[in-house]
Amino acid sequence: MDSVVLKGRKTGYEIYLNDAANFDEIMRELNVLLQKLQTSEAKSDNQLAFALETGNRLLTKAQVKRVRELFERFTNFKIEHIQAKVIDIATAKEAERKNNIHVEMAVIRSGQELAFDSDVLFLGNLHQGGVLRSHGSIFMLGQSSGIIEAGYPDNDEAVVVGDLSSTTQVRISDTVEIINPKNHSFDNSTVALINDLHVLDFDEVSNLATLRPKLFRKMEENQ
Amino acid sequence: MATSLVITSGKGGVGKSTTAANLGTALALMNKRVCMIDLDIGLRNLDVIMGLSNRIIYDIVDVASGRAQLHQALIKDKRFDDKLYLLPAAQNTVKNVLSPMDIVTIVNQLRPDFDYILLDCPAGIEQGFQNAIAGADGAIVICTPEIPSVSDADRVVGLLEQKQMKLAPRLIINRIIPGMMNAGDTMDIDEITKHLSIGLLGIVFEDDHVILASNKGVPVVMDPEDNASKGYRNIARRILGESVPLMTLKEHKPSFFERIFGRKKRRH
Repeated sequence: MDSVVLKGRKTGYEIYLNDAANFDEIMRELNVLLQKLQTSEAKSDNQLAFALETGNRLLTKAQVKRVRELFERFTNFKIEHIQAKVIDIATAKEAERKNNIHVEMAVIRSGQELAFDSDVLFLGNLHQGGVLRSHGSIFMLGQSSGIIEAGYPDNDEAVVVGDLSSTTQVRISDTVEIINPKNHSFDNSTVALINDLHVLDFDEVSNLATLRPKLFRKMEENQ
Repeated sequence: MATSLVITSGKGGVGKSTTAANLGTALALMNKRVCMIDLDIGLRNLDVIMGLSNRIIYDIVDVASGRAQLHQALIKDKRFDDKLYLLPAAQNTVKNVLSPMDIVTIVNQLRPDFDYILLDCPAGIEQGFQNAIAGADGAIVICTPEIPSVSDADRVVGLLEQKQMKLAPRLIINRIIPGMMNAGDTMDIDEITKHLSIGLLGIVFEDDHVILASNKGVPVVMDPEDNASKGYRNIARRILGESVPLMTLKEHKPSFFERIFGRKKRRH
């Protein structure tokens, strides 16, 4: 079987680098293939872009460099992108962590800060003077009398769901609301979010599907 | 080998030194050898509460800087037959002369000779606090049923938990006024304990005798009938591992005859 296969796709040309083949073999065959193509495509002026598909092989940085250097020698060819069917475990874990809701049960005491970069389901106890911070949304089921900071520092899509009646402040992205229970009625179905006027606003959880459709799609995908 | 306990609160005026003096005395009354160390450098008063201030010759700063031997600086309380000692703080030096390592060294030197070492921590969470908790196996957090005090205690518990001591911190709720607590004017015991989520070691009622006793230099715990004294004695028993029920918050209602004849009793 060939180490390098040229395929035509709807989106353009794709070169498949066989993941079972020796890499030096691939480089040699790729060179041959490109030279052949250059002679047959020599008349056309515009550059031809190739998508490189590496299958179940992850190219190392050095290998990517070699491939790119090879393409630079052929002026009318360029690489559109290099893509594999696989990712390494660290990247996968990171992605999983970021996309999943993190369940946290800690006690955040006065003067302490707890920060996350994913959505957080908080079942612990947030004391006065403590800060719970996340880049994503925060879903409060625990006691909260401290500061809740969602969408830190600039995620306007983040929301805070839960009973916020005894919370000191809610912050989302760059907006701040000092909570005064007299001005709002809070219960477990309250959601805080940034509205169209870029002001921190409160609403019912039942309206969240229309207010933040992206959030719901993400939750469905996770299931 | 001694267990060293730091008595701390964050906030000032909640009764750290009073608690240290009374717990030390109560433990000594139960035949334990106790050493109390005053770490409030520059503002010492454990010696005043114990009535030992006239006997101070050397202090902890002298020991740490090598001007005196540890045994020279220790003051024996003669009332307790070789059971109770005090290592006083310095009154005339600045706060930052001691380092956490100094305290660890002194505590370790004292360990073989005592059952309990009580470290009286200064208010605040600065250097003095860091020194005090460095030498401790466990902590006793004091708070009163007021929100500022509970909030400061919360901060302190957070810092203590980061430190990861051998023994988990425990709580004493001090200066409880039963009438106000029963009427719901102050936070109640369950509320405070739940909020701080640490074990409750005991409660002590507000009592005029505590102030009188501090003025006289005789810890209130020496009077077995007093209400605050009972609280401290119960706490001491719990430290020793006994299980003692909490005191109830009942107020003393003057009876008909008491009201008529007007004999004022001080007990609640």
